[in-house]
Amino acid sequence: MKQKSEFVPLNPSRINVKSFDCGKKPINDYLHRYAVKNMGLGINSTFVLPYQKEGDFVDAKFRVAAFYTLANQTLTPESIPTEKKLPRYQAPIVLVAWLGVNASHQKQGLGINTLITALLHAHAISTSPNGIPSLGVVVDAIDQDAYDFYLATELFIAFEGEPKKLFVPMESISELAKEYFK
Amino acid sequence: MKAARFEMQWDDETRLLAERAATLSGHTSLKAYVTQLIRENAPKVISNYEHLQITNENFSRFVAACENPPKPSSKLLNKVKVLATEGIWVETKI
Repeated sequence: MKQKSEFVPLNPSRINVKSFDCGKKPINDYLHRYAVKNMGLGINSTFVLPYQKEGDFVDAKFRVAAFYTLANQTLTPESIPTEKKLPRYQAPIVLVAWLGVNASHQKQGLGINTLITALLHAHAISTSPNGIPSLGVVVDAIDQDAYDFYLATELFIAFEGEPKKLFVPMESISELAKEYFK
Repeated sequence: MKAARFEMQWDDETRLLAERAATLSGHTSLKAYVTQLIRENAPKVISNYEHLQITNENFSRFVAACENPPKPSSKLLNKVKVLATEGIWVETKI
């Protein structure tokens, strides 16, 4: 059976983070041990897709089907560029620091839906009258699988010589937001 | 100042490696060596959290892309459309 769900801020009193297993240890470790702590420290924010497994007690904590972590970051060139057309020498961006899908929920389109949600979220933060603008979204791919996943969207642009990082301008995400809210 | 105390368990290989490196880099103790490593590395890690340093070429690529943002593929837009109309459904048997 399927249950409709949506991403919510990680709240450890309602969410059982230990239930999550995407098959990759660093991602599991991050959600199990650091996500709540980092949120408390104000370093970044994690959002989870909760669900209740059949047979779980009704008052049991929700399990995690997928999650993503957003952080504010600044892109900085190695040295201050002299080209006049560059508007500033630092560019605020949103970093998708972590993204994972529970192993048993993979290959059901959850990965792309998690990514789209994360991008729309970054866009909402950036374009909200109460938000803070950022010029783009950078993703940090943990391995080749993740890198290929981002490339397959045909949305991300690779940083040359950075085998793990890709970016997409916020204006490109605006097109996704337009489609979403049409 | 009160010093905090940490106990560490290392496997033999890591310990031997650390001892050799400590001796070769002129440290009198493992503690001095580890302290220096932390002092060197921690500021970098912390600053990396806030700043993502990239080459000037990559920065130019980024700015150029922002000035001329690529359009998403129709395939991706279609996935956005499906997400907007159907929402996210999660299998509950697993």
